[in-house]
Amino acid sequence: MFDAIVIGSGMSGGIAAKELSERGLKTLVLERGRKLEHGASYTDSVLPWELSNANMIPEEELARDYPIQGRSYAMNAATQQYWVKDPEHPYSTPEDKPFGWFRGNHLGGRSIMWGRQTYRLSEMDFEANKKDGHGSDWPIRYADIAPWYDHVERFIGVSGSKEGLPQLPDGDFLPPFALNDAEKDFAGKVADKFPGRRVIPGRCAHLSEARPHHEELGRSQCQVRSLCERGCTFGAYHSSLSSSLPAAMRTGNCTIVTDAVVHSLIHDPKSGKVTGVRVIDSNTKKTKTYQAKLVFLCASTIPTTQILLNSKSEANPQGLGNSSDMLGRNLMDHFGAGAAGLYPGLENSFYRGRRPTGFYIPRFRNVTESGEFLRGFGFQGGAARAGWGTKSKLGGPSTVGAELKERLRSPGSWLVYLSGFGEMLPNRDNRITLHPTKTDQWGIPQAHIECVHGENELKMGKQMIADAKAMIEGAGGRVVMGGSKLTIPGDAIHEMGTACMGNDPATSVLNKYNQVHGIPNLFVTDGAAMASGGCQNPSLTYMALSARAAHHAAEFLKAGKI
Amino acid sequence: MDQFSRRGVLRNIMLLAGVAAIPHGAAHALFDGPASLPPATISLLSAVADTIIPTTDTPGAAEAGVPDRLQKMLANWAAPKRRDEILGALQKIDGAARTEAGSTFAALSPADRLKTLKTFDTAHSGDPGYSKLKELVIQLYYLSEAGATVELRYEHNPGAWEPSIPVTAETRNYGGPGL
Repeated sequence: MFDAIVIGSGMSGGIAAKELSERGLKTLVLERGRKLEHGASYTDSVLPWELSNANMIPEEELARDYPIQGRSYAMNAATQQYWVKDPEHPYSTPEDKPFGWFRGNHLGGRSIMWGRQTYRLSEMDFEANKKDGHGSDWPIRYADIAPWYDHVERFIGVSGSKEGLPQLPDGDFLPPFALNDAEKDFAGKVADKFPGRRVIPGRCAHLSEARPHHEELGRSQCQVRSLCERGCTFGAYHSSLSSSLPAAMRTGNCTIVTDAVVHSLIHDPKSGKVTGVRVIDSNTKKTKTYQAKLVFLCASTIPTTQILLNSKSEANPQGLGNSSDMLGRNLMDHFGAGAAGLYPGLENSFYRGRRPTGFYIPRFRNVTESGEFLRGFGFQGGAARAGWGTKSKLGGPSTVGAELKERLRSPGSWLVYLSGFGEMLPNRDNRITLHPTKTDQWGIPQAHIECVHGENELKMGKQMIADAKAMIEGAGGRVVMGGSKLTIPGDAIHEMGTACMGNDPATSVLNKYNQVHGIPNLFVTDGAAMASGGCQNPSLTYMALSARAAHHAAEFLKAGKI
Repeated sequence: MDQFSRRGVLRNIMLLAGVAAIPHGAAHALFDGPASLPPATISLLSAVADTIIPTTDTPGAAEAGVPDRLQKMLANWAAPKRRDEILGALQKIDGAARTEAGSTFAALSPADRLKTLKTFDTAHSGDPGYSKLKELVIQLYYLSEAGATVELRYEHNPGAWEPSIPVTAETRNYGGPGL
């Protein structure tokens, strides 16, 4: 018997495994997907002229196998192995409520393909649900999680600049990836035209400089290649494979089992504890039960809630941890739209290297400037000079021959782009349930996902686009692209909620230690736990919650409380 | 995905090619077309590619291996409708050569090829077959070793981010994907 089972090896599971193992707990990690090896499994050494089909997936294969995953920005021939074949991993949505569920099926999960943008939630974010009455009041505040943000940021390595902004707390960063000259110019003009708005280097989980504790894990400095979604042989960005799982393994306390699909949890109503984890071997379909003193559910928002719902029993007719009927509810994602423009001048300036981050504009709506909606949004963005691709489309009247070649040879005009990330309000009708009849290839009921944007999202979206355009124009640029369509739910790949933290077991699923209310040895620390989404990229918060909960779990175990 | 979602925005702006359009009737069986194109089509394809991106002070598309790559993409990547559109565009170019210059495109001199193709390009830049053909030739060229490292500059491991360097007479764009 293990001390702890961690279900899922992705962003959250990797950190939970590390923290539990480091505290001496014999820890079993169960990963549903196949084994990947750090380095050996990656495709980052493929040179441009070695890419097949101009790095595109054959059209019929793309349409047949990846109708959903193929829409991801990170999906191409070199990264194909990291994304599921949609027909093999079905889920259900109402016809009129599309939801994009983007993921892989492998050790490390989306920590391999993530965008590495790393931001803290702030006190304002933790207070938001209480303040405007949407969702369950977070049972923690910034002060509770701040030491864990510190802890995780130090471990993973985060590049960034200290800015002293209350809505985006600082950490102890590795050197930032500096803004290029057009971005500096844009930042200055935005500050002049829109006092209070800041354009800062994007904070990212990259080793702009490796510290000894990073190097001890075999990680080294970022080579500025932007091949990240292929996997990085340098371990220069944080992933489960490069960073947290190696840390777990070197304690000698961690065992990883892949190809293990968790079906359900076994709960003993007398003790109130989870006593086992039912697993189906992904390939042989044989079943097995694992036991441990405590369980961390880090299977990713949707599968975590699917497992809890699928764990219904006589004592738990609505699923495990669902006496509140809140399990599955308050599904959120980020949403956005943006704009891009031509940016004048600075013809004599260029850059070298493919920087793995751009700039970030922290939230200003309902912070320093009011909004006709609740909550707010931030922007990721950047500026770059038109390269061969852009110039072949936008560089002038259509041409061929030496004239075309000449045109594409030198850097073109600067372009600046802004891509907004807005906070969705928790809405109990945005929810996951188990499909009543459809199952997956392991006989597990499919997730049925219902999620739509509400009034607040639509109003915010309009402001987001207007603000993006206004900043580009205010800085002297000319808008050449300005979307009016928002991303559909799921497309930000930040799906969260459905097993929300809260103080009241009647209106939430988890307590302030991420324990399922009433089940002291069951912890949920992935995106499902989020009581609200903020507008900041959420992975850092999942990792901080995981580390914090692991600390408390180990303490409770030692004290005989679980 | 909407082109403004997430970090794909910059890549989408730069390439404006985005994800290859999904052909209709994707219920087709996997394309199992002829192993290779007829020799006349291969000559035509090579001549068109090498006219779009000719040899200048650096290699052109032919020397960079683009025709071979393009043939492979027609066989392995393109859905039947796409393949037909691109081959159709090639035939239209050949047709224009025959009409205007009384010769197949491949038999024309480089100067005459350029003349014919320039006229064709101006008139047909909106044609799905021709615009995809041109786009693929350009992509394959700037992904090729000659295109990315001789005509342009490419380092697989830049090593460090230099946010501000001066543009000089020697400055070139960067080759490789996603730019």
